[in-house]
Amino acid sequence: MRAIALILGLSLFSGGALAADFPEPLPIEPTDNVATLPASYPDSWIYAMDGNFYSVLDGKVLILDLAATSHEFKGYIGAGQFGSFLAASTRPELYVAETYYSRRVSGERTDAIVIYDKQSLKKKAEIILPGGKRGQSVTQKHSFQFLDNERLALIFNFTPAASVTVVDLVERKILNEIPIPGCSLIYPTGKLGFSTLCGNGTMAAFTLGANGKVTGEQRTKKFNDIDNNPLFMKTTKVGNTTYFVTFLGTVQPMDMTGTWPKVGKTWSLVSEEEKAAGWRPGGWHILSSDAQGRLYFLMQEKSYPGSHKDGGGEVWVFDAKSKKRVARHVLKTHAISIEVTRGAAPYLAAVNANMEIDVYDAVSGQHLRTIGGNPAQTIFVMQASGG
Amino acid sequence: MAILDRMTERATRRLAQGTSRRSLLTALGGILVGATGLPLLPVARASGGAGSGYPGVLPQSTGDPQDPGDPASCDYWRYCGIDGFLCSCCGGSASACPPGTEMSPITWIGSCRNPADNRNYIISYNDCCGLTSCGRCMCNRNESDLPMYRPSANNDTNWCLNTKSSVYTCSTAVIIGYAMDEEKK
Repeated sequence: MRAIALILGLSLFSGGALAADFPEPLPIEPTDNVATLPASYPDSWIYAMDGNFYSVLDGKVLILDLAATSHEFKGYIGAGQFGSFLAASTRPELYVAETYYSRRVSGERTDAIVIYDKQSLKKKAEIILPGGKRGQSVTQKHSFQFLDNERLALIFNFTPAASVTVVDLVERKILNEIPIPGCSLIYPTGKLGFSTLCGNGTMAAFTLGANGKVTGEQRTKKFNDIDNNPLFMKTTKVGNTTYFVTFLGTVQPMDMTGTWPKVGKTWSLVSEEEKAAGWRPGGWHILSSDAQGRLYFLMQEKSYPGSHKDGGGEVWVFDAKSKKRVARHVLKTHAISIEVTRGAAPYLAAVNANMEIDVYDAVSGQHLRTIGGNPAQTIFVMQASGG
Repeated sequence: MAILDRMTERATRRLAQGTSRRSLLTALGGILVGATGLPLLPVARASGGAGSGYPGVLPQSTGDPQDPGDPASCDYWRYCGIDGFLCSCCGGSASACPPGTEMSPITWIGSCRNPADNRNYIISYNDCCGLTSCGRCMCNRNESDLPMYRPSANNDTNWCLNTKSSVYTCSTAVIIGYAMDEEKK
């Protein structure tokens, strides 16, 4: 305290000496002053989902500007207990599906979709999810998805019985629950339908009515060779094609724009030589794409059985149309998840080994900056604001 | 606490960098994600020598030569598919939850080879539930882990299901059987 008093005294004293240089004092500032954000975020902004494994009750979603050279941290909202996140582009709202207990770790369980205003980041409403069955896992984009031009949301449940809850986000009410036994996660399909990946190597697909009721159901042939070369459950989309990739680097394109999913022709990220050197995709969120039609994969060398989540040291860039590799970015620091922004000059974000976000020029691969400062404990998934 | 964790993690990573490229790769590989997934303390897997591999975590032993290794270390044989905080470091053991928690009755099953008797054991990775995340001894190994469409082989799932609270605390690795075929070989 004495030291502080001394410092205050000194600053008052020296302030007098400099008053001639600054004839006017600084203006009086208002209190009750809270920052706001624009209703529509620039495409260089991303959402970084911190599952906060060291205190899962207290996860959050960070809003960051990858283009900024100052004020890169825009704000954050809560996302507790393995929360899932969606950002609307048709109205200024953000959605978090999360779980809380009335006595923090015990008491009554509440699962809810919490609706935030995109400008104030204030909670504006919530939709209670019935049954205490919201699926909880390491963050997956496909556990919570929009449908019907963002009118509906679908939420994955796991008790361990698997199902999908259909929610009307505009009317803010629950429409339906659809059992998906033996299957997992949600891949929007066609105008008003969804597909789900199943444990027998197929994809089951459902068409819905406007009221969320199932109007049809089909299954693809078995195309996921789960025992030998399983599909990761992450996707990215270029044009009308949704891309999956397998543990060993086989790209599986799917057309999810029609009524039923169409299984496309596979191709490989790795040559025989690269395969022999153990190159394959690895990490948590291991693929992304830009608005120019390039696909990005987080790649690891010297892989071994069980290394599929270990992250990697390079990002390989492919032209989606020609299937040719157009760049190979060596990362500054080993990464576990990547995301690419959708602007004219795309940025590549990589969650690095220190749980900071390394920002690269996605085209050249040049490292631009690192966003750190201990904002998050365990970021697993990033979502580009435009994607 | 997390800051400390991360500092020690960085320190161990520097240590690993001083050894060999292979150990560096192993160390960085330790960043894994897991179901619970986290940056794992790297040297844990690379070690295998004396000490638990986690700074500030004292070594343990089962006392049974047929159950070798350190249950407070990520490279203990039963943890070949574990993803989370080791209950051994949190007041429980490889097969018991810490006081005040509840063991999840359902979970995923993997198999790990015991180096002492060379049998493949069926391991049930029951989560312990009801207290906030333990935070000690994060360990993520993914031998035989498959994506969530095969839930019985998936460690990304919060297995605190059918418990009073779904709040995840730590993970165990309980022996629930061994492969009969292996026994005949």
